[in-house]
Amino acid sequence: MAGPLQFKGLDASAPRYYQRCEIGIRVGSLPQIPLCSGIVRRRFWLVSLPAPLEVRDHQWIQATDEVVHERLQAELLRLRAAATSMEALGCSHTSEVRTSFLEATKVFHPNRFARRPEAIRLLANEVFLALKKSYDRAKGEAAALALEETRTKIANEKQERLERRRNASSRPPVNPADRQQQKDRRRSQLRDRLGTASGTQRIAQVRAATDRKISDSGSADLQEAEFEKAMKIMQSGNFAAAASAFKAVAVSRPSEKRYRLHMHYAQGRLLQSSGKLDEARAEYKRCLGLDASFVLAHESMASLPKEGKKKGSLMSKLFGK
Amino acid sequence: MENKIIGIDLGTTNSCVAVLEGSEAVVIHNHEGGRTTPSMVSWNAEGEVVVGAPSKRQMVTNPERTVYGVKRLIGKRFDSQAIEELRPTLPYSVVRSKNGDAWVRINGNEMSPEEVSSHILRKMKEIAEDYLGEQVEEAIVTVPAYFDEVQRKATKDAGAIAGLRVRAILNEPTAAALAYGAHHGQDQRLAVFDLGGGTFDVSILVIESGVFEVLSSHGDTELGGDDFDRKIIELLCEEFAKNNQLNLHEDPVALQRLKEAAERAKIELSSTISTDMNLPFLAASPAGPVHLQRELRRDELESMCAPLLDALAAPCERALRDARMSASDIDQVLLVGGMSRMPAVQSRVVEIFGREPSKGVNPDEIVAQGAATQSAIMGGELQEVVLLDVTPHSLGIRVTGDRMSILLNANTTVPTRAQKTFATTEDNQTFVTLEVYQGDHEKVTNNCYLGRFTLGDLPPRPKGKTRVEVDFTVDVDGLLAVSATEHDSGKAASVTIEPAGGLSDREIRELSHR
Repeated sequence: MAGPLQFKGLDASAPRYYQRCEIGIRVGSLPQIPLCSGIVRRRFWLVSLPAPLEVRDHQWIQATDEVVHERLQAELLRLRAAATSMEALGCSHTSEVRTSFLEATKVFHPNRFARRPEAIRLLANEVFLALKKSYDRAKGEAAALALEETRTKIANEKQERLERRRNASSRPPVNPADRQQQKDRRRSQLRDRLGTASGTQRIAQVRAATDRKISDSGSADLQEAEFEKAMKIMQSGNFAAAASAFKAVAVSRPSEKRYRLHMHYAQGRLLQSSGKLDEARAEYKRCLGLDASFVLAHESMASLPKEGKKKGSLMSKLFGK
Repeated sequence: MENKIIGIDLGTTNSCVAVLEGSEAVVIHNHEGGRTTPSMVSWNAEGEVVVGAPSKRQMVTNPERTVYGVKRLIGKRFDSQAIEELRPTLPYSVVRSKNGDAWVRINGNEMSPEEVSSHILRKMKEIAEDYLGEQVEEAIVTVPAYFDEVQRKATKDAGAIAGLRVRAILNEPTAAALAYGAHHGQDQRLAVFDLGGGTFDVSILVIESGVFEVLSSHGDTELGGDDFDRKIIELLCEEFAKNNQLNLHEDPVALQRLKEAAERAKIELSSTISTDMNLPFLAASPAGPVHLQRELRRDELESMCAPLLDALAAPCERALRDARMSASDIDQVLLVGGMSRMPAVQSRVVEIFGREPSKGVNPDEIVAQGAATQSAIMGGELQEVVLLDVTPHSLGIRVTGDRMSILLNANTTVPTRAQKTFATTEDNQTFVTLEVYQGDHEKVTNNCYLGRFTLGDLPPRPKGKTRVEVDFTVDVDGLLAVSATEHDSGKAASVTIEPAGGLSDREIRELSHR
């Protein structure tokens, strides 16, 4: 059933799939297969393809040299024309990659053709090399897919954990007077501890102490959750709400650059949407000052009319007058 | 009906030939009735060649013209450290050939190790022909897995000189695994521990639905039963010198007798606790003939061979590491090679892999059986089985600063291919010369030089403008082929390979017609 390949010319609707045939195919020291000489391009359509892997019968292995040669050549073409490595191996799921490769190996391994003439041996070598390349690629793709799945899983778990913690952290309200008292006590404690330190040292120590306190109470994660929430608001397009949400997070934890970055960005978008372009630009510039590789700010900057243009318009106004 | 392909285990000390009968790999008896044949070639005074057991029998009286352990010389440079260490221990003379290879000199004739090996292969061929009653022209020859490209090529050439078309160069541990797995077909992970007469190999394989995939291979081509024999000889010589003030090293006949006795004692000590060594009239002193009589105990042997036994662990660990496995992942350990019968070796294997090795395979014959089984894969009798082997050494080329640029890493499944693009470094350069090395070290000087090739017919252009894409293809036998194309025109550049050593095609043809 896997007869010689036939080609029909001049069909512009040939699927993209087989267009890779136009890449030159040269097998070891064999003469070039005419299809691929570089003159024939694009519009050629493979009419009869070799049967897919699972229905391949292996009897041809015992056949005459001509049949074997043809069969191997067809397989080589099929492997090289396949759009994806999964297709080359004839499998539909990543779990089949290994079995498909092993099954194909049993048929196409060069050892199977060791008693054949040199040309066939070389061709078999090429077929196996192509097969192995597809396998390695498919393996890589499968691994990347698995990694992606694990990542999503971890992210989901993290989200769940955060939500659980947020629910748990809604504590009973505290009397404002008590809170004030508590604050004073902490301040005096700090003062006692830092009494002898110099100015810069003191600032550093206070920062360290605050950071410790934040991480001790677990509020860092709380802020992270707030930040995520703000991001969601931002995505929904409500810039005003997002800006105030980001601001709240950024104020509660000024040491985190990321919070400030997004605060400025949200502010900028808010200003831009209300037509205050210069102020918006200033906000974006602040973003870039914090992180020069922040793509969103770059994009938004680009969407603003050029600064020079405004000057021009002023000039034209002047001249107009 | 095509003629049969025979499987030959070309060993350092013994060789074995097997053939497929029905679905069974059958080991063929030699003319003397032995299932293995000593890998010895000798020339008598008339220049006639004697191979196998008859050669071994006359070895004592004809030491200078008896070549044993030629596998340790094949594909080696005369200047290499291994040959320098080996040379003083051999009764026959090893000389430098014109191209720098290690050759042997017999009766004043210089001879390549390929030619010596070809006599053994021809003998194996005759044994098979007598048994089968038909002409044998094709063979599968096994080599240690850690054999490099040059040694493989040389072994293949030896086959060609013997009038055999070598259909495959098969790795010994892989062959053993194939012979074993053909009868124990379930999926499993296998470690093959192959300690032969001259070489040590360890391979980690996984058998999965009929495909035998080698994951890693490591070894030592300078460690084997010969080294154990030599330890015994050294001990006896030392004692003899102390007791009788006679240096046996100067007496080739005495040395040869000692070697024979040492080998026999070593083999006996695998089954007994102590053995008697009895060599009457070993040497002559002014006071009359001196005899050697001594008891050798197993613990004595084990303590003096401790450094050799210690050297077994590192390659195993390396192979496991390369296969990304730990010893507990291994389902079965297969012992191959005569030396694996030594109890101390077996206990080391238990230490390394944490399990009892598999009994019930014949370590002397399983490799040849594996080679015959492989012939069934080639002939199509065995459809559902195939071997996927690896290349044991990294291959690369020399780049500026004598550094090694690796193209193909060790333990890559063969056949395999790697590409690299080279640019010209001078204006109007019409050829590029590349030096190929093998080994893992980042300095090429510490690696093994394989040869160089020149890419010619390049169009003259300013420097850096001509780019050549070079293909390195390693075939199923682990042999390297180089092809090159000029990047822009797609025109094939001519490739001239100048190997560091070995025989040319013409030399092989001449020798095979002799």
